[in-house]
Amino acid sequence: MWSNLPFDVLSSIFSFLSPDSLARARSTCKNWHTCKIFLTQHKPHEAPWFLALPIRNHQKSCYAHNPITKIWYEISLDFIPLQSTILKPISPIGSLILLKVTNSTTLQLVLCNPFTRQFKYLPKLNVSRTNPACGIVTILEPNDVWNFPDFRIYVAGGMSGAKHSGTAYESTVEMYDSCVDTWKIVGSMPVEFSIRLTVWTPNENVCVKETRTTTLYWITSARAYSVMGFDVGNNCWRQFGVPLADKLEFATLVRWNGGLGLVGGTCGGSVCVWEMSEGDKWCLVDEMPIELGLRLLCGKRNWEGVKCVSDDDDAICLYGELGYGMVICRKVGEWDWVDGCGYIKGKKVLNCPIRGILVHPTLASSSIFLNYK
Amino acid sequence: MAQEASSSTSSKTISLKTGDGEIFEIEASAAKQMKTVQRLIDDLGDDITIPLHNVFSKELPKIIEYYKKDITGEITKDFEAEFVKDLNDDEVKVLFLAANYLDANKLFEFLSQNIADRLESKSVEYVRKYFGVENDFTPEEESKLREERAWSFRGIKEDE
Repeated sequence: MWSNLPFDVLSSIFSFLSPDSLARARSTCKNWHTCKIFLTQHKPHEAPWFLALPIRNHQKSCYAHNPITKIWYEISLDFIPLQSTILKPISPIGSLILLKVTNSTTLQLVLCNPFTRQFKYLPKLNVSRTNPACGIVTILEPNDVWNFPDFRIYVAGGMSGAKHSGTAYESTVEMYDSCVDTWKIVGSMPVEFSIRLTVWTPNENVCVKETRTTTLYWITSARAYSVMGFDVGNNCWRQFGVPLADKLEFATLVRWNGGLGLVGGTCGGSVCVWEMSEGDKWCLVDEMPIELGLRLLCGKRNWEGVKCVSDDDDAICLYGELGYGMVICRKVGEWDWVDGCGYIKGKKVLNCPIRGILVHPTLASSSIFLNYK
Repeated sequence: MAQEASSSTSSKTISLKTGDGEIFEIEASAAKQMKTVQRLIDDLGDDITIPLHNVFSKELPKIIEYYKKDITGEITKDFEAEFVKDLNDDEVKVLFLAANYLDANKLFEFLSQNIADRLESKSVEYVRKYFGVENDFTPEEESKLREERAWSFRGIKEDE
């Protein structure tokens, strides 16, 4: 009786398994391997996985941390026919990852799922440009599956090869719609904003949806830091400052409490979190415990090597190099240490600088990869 | 008949008879949580002893215990932890199948989670043994699978 449980009963058990355990459970026999309903899982309430992409590494892999078992995995990226070190993560989209190819002279985006070894190049833009800002808006209807939402990518600014005068800062804004797999020009932006975004933006963005507006935010990394906001519905741009703008050694925008947050560290100070409220005003809402900050600094005297990522569920993760360890905060006041990746399956992993991203993995196939390759 | 405003003094109990002939009492409000039982009550009436051919005297009391707590809103994480603490794998399986048969959704979900917890981080072979499934992959198919899920290997011999 137990060995031939109906699939809908089994899928209830499997829906609670983490991706790695589910991968193993599906490998037990043919029937279970081909059964697709085992892959429809509820969005896990637990912490997301942290994925680390090495910036300098001869191996074609990334590293993933399971927050429940606290085990690190090495995941091969050899299914993407590009050096993995030139892939820079931009954002999770559902349980997929959007990456940018860093050595391309014009913007090339790649969507992938390292857990199913699927990837897809996004089509080229109408106006090709170098180093624009990218922002993602996910569109999740009530009946949609959480792991593969529809989405729009907004690309703003960048440098284009203008025909008669060498290069110029591009002032058009283009939008990619996942429903039709194409780009279209949707608006324009003031040239000063374009310059600032092109030259000084590290590329992460935060999307904040309110009742009547959806706004994409980027932080420009020129001291003093400042934030640009783009209201996608009304094609309006604005710029505003951040606290301690010229004193912060690192500053990242994050999702916090459903809205916009800022994480930053000052010389000799700790890492703080500010929340933006009405009127583009910031207020200090949390601070990393000093002992965790010291561990994260790992003997260094400034915050410059520290990076930060967040996800749609307001988890934030601060990290340094691969082996160093990270600090994760999922709720105000709850900061936890996560050990870095030192060994995988008994073999030492070389430390290296990384770019991180938070994702809830899925083993299911997305139709977005169909008809591709 | 006057309707009682308070739900805590519902005195109506239902008699359930297990597959091995034992009879247990359960509050009507708890019986409501088990859709199979409720359907039988709707068909047979609530004064008759409801026969449950696929549930036995070993597991039914445990199920009744769970739903006694449920109707008083007392199911806490601690209670749930205690509930499964001393259950071995076979006992959990039996309860899980019974919850499925009884269409007792809350218990079913809870036990699904618990069984998943027992399978977390275990090897492929362990999962096979747990469910009693046979490995029907050819060696070629297995090695292709290994490529696909290479990352999830635990690197411990029994998995390879």
